[in-house]
This record gives sequence, C-alpha cells and structure tokens, in this order.
Amino acid sequence: MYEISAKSSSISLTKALMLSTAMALSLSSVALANGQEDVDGATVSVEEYQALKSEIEIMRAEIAEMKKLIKEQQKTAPAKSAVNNVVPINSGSQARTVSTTAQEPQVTKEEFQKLKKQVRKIDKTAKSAEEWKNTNSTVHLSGYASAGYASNDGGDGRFNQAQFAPIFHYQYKDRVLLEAELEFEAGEDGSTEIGMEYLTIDLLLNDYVTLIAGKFLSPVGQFRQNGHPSWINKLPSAPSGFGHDGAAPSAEMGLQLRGAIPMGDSDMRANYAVYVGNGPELETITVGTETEIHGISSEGFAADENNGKVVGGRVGFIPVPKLEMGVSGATGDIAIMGEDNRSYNVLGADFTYQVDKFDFRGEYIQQEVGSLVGSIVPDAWKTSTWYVQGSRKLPNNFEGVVRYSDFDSPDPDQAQKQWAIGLNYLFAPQVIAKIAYEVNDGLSGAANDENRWMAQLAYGF
Amino acid sequence: MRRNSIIPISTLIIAPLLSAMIFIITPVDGRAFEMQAATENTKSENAAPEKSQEGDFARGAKLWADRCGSCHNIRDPKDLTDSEWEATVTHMRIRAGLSGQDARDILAFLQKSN
Repeated sequence: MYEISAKSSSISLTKALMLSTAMALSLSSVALANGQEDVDGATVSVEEYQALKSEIEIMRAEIAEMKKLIKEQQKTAPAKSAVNNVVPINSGSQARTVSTTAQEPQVTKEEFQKLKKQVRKIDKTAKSAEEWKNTNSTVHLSGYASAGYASNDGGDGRFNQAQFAPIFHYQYKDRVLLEAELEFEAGEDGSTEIGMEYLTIDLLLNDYVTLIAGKFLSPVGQFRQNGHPSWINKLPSAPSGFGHDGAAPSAEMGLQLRGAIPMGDSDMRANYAVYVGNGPELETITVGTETEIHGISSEGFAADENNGKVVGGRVGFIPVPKLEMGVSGATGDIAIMGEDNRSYNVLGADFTYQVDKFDFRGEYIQQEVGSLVGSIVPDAWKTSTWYVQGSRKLPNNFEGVVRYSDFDSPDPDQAQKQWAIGLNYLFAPQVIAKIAYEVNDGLSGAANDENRWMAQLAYGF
Repeated sequence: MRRNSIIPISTLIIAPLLSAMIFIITPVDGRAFEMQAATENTKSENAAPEKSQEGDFARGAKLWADRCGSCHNIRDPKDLTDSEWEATVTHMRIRAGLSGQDARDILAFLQKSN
C-alpha cells in the first residue's frame, strides 16, 4: 500500500491529462495534415503512427482508471486525512510518488521502501531494548582495581601492588541477589594470589529483612564491610589492625540477617545485622620452647574445627542525615588445635559524619580470647585497634586526608601507632590517584616501625 | 576432641535467632511473603519484573546525597544503565542497611537521572 495525498494526486493527474491530450492532438493533426510526412519533412511510417496512437489509447485508459480511483479515494479520504494527513492507495504501477502534503517533496518508491525498511529496523531495535529492560534477571559486573608503589625510609622503592577485585551481581526480580567478590593480586614472587572475599546468596524477604547465606564480610564495624575497597578507602593502606588477620574480624561463613529498622517518616534511620558462623581460628607461634598466641584468623573458614559457632552483629543508628553511629559485637568459642574451647568475644563501635566538604570517620574494635587451664597458652589474650580519619574536598578535584590509628597487640611485631597523611586527586568520583606518607611507631627495627611513602591509583567500576 | 562439656552459648542463641527470622519474614505491611510459582514466573517470557511499589524521585535524590556519600564518593547517575543501577542499588540496600522503600526511591532517582 502506498499513500498519497488527494490534493497532490489531483494536480499530477491534471497535468498528465493535459500533456497526453496535447500529445494526442498534435500527433493526430500531424498525421491528418501530412499523411506520411511531418511538418519538418521527416517521414513517419504508418506503423509508427499506429504505435503512437496505441500508446495514447493506453495512456487514456490508465488516466481514466486513475481518475476513477482518485474519486473513490476522495470519498473516504477526508476522515483519515484529517487525522493523519495521508490517504492510502493501492501500490499499482501507477503509484510513483508518496507525500504527506502537497508542499512536501515527493519520494520515489525506492526511497519509500528504504525508509520503510529503516523504520522496521528501528522498531525491532527499540523492542529489543525494551525487552532487555524487562527481563526477570539482571547481571552486573562491578568491582575495583588498584596499582601501587611503596618506598620505606632508607630502603628501595618498589611497585608493590596490582590488585583486581571483580564483584559479580546476579539479581532475580526483587527477590534474590547473588553477589561475589574475587580478589586477584600480584604476589612478591611473581605468582598471582587469588581469593574469594565473599560469596553470598541474598534472599530479600521483605522491605526490612534480607537473609544472607554463604561467606560474607564481617558485619562487625564499618571498615571491613564498607571501607576496604581501594576506591573507597581514602588512603593507600588500611588502618593499623584493620587488614587481614588484624584486630578486626575479616569474614565469616554462615547465615546473616540484615536490613533496616522501621523508623516512620522521619529522617532518622537505623539498620542491623545479626549472624551466626563457624567462627575464627586461633593462630599460635612457637618461639624456642615457648608457644604463644600469634593472632586470630577470621577469613571465613568452611570448617569448624572446634565445633563452636560464633554469633554477632551490628546495630547502626542515623539520628540525622550524614551521621551514623554503630555498635557491634560477637561471642562464641575458639580453640587452639587439639584443645578445649575457650571464650571468644568481640566489641566494636564506629561512626561516620559528613559536613560541608569534610568527612570524618572512626572505629574501635577489640577481640578477646579467654584463659584455659591446662592449655599450652593458658593466659587470656586480647587485641584492640582504633582509628580516626578526617578528610576534606579541596579545589580542583583534590582531597586531603589525615588518619591516626593505634593497634594494641600482645605481639610486639604487630602493635603499631600510625599517622598517615595523604593527598588525593579525583579524576572521577571512582578514579582516584593517592599519595601518602605513613609515620609508624612499632617494634624498633621491625617492619612495623618503618615510615614509608605510598602511591596508589584506584579505580572503582 | 576440642569440645566443651557445656552446650555452647552460641547454639542457644541460634535457635531464637532462627525463630525470630520466621516472624520477621512476615512483612511489616502485612503481605505474606510467597515465592512465585514457577508457572506464574513463566507466564510471559517478556513480562516485566514485579515491582511492589514505585520509588519517589525527590526522596530518592535526598537519600542518594545523604546515604551514598556516607561511605564513598557519590557516583554520577550516568555511570550506569537502568538495569545496572537496579543490581547496584540492591547490593547497596543490603550493604548499607537501607529499607526496601529507600532503595526504590534511590533507584527511581538514578534511573530517571541517567
């Protein structure tokens, strides 16, 4: 079906009628006046005359057919053309032009077909895009990466970090989210270290409760679960005691419930997280003939050697926007391999506050292991750490940051007081170049006592 | 064997926790949580995912500024597509302890601003 305006059709047909009539009259008059000769003296055969006459007859018939067609269409056209300003006609050999108004340029059949094909293609693409919008499942890859350089005072500098941590999100409707963070890091010996930071299947039970199963970041405190990604952490290093195997629990294997606590229509907010997991393991070290506790490993073990679960959680309160305060804790059992269980308790408190261009945050965490008579290490053991950090957005996408942290541990190789000052440049909110200097106070002569320069380029995606 | 003779306190806490979970599962707005039947899920291959409630753009804009920036630099809404924001906001809903409505509000803002 082609479409043609009634007005333009009438004009075209009128022109065609006039032209064909003129041609017919001229040919007829020439033939009658000169017999087989034309006015210019060129000869015209009878066959040629008959052929032209036949053509004129055909044209007349076609014109008559078109006139009839136009009349029929004009009867039905007004209603439609009032809305669309177009009138459909059959796509016969006569239909050579298409236009929506008499003023618009005419379009050939080929051009029309080409346009029609393009419209179909665009329509298909639009439908395809809409279809992807409405799938039940959503797949998303995010994560972060960083490259770093460090130089200890009095030592050689080295490019010490190449880290890639993809985070996979697979969501089904508003019901389920699978999330997993892997961590690839270049080792000092050229190998690649691979780890799974967390992998959980999250069931969104309702607006306030999500059930999480799998290996998850410890909900105790803020830094481990929210602040550790390199594009979020404003300094190239973690606060003392907040790295892996520090004073703050890292991860847990088990079940967790977390979500928001209803607070009505006010600006106040509150949130919670409670979990049960296999718990951490106690690490020992033997120096000479003496064995001592070296630390608590809490990387989220798939085994529960001491058959003692740990339960814990955190409650966060946001009394006014941009201020959050949280308390957290955990309790359970822990054991040295081959010994009976002993108590394990964790306490924590944290806050974050943003005002104007400033960002303040801090956190305290302590882990305590009870005593056990008859153990190779009978005494209780306690470690704690805390930090406060302040940063300010500066002109031209710069940002300054200062942090103090204090890691108190019975192991002098670990205990450390640290000042860190840094300057960042934000290429984008998630692309940050950092340079920082750490002043470390630890065991004299040990690694935790060395000051160092650090630089890092971090990218969150 | 590294077992205590006393039943671990943690075991005593797990049971109430699980019980509490069953009660908590019943939504606050009174709607019982029911997993969709497989037949219902497949009634239309292109059916839109269920959205319990719509988000509010203005509330979402405020929450986006207030809550997202408490941990990290605020991302430009144009960084991600609608579906990417959907998964990202769900992730952050869980991580930051946002309510479902707060998450929907933030999502509405991000999807209308990208």
